[in-house]
Amino acid sequence: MGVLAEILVVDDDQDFLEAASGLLEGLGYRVTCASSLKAASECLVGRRFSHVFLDLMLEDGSGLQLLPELQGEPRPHVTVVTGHPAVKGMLKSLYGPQVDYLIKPLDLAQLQRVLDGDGVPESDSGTKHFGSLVGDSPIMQKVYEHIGRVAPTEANVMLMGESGVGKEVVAKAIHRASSRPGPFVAINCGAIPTELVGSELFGHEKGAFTGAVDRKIGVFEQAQGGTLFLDEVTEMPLDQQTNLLRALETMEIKRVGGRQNIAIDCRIVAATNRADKELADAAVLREDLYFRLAVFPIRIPALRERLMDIPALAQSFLDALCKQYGRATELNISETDLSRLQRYPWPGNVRELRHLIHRAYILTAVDADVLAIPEDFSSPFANIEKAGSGIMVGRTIEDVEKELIEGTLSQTEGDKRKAAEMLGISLKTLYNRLNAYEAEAAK
Amino acid sequence: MNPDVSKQIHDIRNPLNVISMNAELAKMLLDQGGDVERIKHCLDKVLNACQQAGGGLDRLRSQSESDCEEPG
Repeated sequence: MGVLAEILVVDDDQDFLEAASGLLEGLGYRVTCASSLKAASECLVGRRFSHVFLDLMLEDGSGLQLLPELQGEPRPHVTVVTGHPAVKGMLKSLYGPQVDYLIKPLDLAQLQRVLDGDGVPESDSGTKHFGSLVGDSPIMQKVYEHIGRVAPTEANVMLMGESGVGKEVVAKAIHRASSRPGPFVAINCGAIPTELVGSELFGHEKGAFTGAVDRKIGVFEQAQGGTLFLDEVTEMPLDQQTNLLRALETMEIKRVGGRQNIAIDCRIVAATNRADKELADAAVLREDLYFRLAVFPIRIPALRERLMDIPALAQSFLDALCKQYGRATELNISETDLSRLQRYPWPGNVRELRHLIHRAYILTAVDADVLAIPEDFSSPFANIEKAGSGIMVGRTIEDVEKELIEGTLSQTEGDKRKAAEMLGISLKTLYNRLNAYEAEAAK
Repeated sequence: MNPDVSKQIHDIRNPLNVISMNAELAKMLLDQGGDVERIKHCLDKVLNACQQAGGGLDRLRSQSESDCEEPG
């Protein structure tokens, strides 16, 4: 995410090494080449690489012999390059998903996908929309339709949705659907110290400020010809928003301390957790910048608005975990548990669901075939979250009370004692209310 | 599949790989302002690799011809 990476390319074909390193350096990476196992081993001594491209057939042995040396943390992303499609299948069953596989001849798009960390797309990705999105609910179908329409255009997109709904996944889907040749570059505007925002976005020249020991390429340049994802754009300091606006208006940037205008050509996808109303009220985003960024706004629904997608989402997370941990037996989720999952409000959205599935996986026995979801999986934020929102004016006290009681009962799974406690009324009062509702319904 | 044929096919993928990498590199150089010497160098590599691939295909043909001549 906005950091130059070190790549090691191991192949005994010098012409390939020359072209590949020229290409990768052009993308902004630092490249080291090795044409034999021995040379590669020497390169690995005392150095860390973020990516390693490994040819299978080397003059002094198989590239696979290098894999044990690449196990140290932080583990580099390894891509094995082979000329044999059959070998790919065999390696997958031996080494599983730890390693990516590409077949010669390679093209830039394949290299980019591997470097973006998306891995090599499975031909059997099931019913995933745009390669990564799961869920067929009507509300998500609208989102897919929007993605399909906006992706091939030049329009900037603003993704709006609560934390954990999958804004970055949607941004990547838009990038993939756009078939733009350049990379997908993501940056979290809220995570950068104020003083460094300009430098991260636009880069800096050597000596531009204390600590600028080298020229740095900012994310706008890194995303040349591709897609730039500005996460939490509303957290960008207002004075930097002015610079961002100018960049979007002129389609040119200037590196910090630089004199030259550099033309930029990337598509901007921005994202914010803030609701519409908050954007205007809290004055966190300049209005003119908003209109530039939100040429095409897409609202990504909260998980509780698409409860019917939960079974598909949970199963896809589970399948990914089984694959990641190399599990021998398949795991499924019981119908009862699926119902339970669909009765919870998920304040943390899809991210919370994914973490729960992971936790459940860890708790499940090695030889089990059903996932062991814990009895209580609500987060500390589940009950507090709903307190302030959703109170609509224009209803009677009785209506609101009825909704509150029914909602609480559903939350406690019909446990009346717990519900009465949560509501702050006696069990007798609760029974009285419930009887009254029944009597009314019978009329 | 005959292992020799398999190897020949694999040996042709290598020059094809050199062609694809050099073509992508030439495109990138053009986008970045067109370093003519470097681009010409890439295209020379492409031409070389085409020759190599052609040679590989010839070997493949003679390989399969001699296979056909083997007594059944």
